Amino acid sequence: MKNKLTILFAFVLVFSVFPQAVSADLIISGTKSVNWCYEISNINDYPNYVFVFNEERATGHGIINQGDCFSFYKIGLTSIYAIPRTEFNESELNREFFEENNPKLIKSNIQLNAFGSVQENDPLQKAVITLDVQSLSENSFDIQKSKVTYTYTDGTSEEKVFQSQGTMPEPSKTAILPWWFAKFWYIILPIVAIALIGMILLIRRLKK
Amino acid sequence: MSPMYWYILSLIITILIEFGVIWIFIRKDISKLFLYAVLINSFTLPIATFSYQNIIDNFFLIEILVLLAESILIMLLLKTKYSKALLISFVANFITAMISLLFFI
Repeated sequence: MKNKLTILFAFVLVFSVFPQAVSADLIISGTKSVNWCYEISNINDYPNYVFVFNEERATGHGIINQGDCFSFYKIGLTSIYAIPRTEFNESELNREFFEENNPKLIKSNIQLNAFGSVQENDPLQKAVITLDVQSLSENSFDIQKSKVTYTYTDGTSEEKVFQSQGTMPEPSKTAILPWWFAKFWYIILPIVAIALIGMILLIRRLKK
Repeated sequence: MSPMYWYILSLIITILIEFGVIWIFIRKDISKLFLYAVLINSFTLPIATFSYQNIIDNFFLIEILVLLAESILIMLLLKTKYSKALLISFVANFITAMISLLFFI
């Protein structure tokens, strides 16, 4: 029992000192996470290579095939690599394999971030970020973000082209109202109003 | 001006107009009539705006549904005949719909 209490106390202490360790996996009040992923549009143009992504903190690695949409731990930074197909052995893929000096790996110029969250009442539901391989050789791998496809809660979707690699194009549809006001306006206000109407009618009937 | 203030302003304008119309038809107990106008519109306006923005992009259909919903609430709260409640609801919603078309949509 004493040991359990000590462990519990240690947890509380650690998460009090490093609050970001707690908030990393929580959704902040008033926000929602968007279903997001990355895809590479032209993998089939490079049949001599296998494409993999690696995120060191939690997700680990994965093979990227044409048509795959991959995502990773939200606070992780992910790199994309190409491996010559002749040198690829799936069983070799582990944490050590992705060390800087591995000669089999051709590291791309890009580092990928998670999409993040949006306001709770935001109509954005999904974001698919499309990457294009610009060039790939034995010692260089250039990949660019080409477009993002936003899908909204009403079922519509749109494509936005990247004007700058560092800036995510903004979705056209965003939340009109602050989340707390939307909650008040669309939920609390009509419920309170109809409840009061019901109470008035009920009291009137009981008085009869 | 923030959209939030437009929402609140539209609710206040709607309540005042519908209260005025109800008062023209039923000239008694002004405070109760005002309370009923507040409650009825606090119920229908948020649902109508949500429906217009997310479910049915048809202003006239939503207005008709609001008119019918409000006529029932007016009948129950004001203890009037349904025909009179429907007339009150029609006049009130016709005026607010015209204002919405002119200024808000």
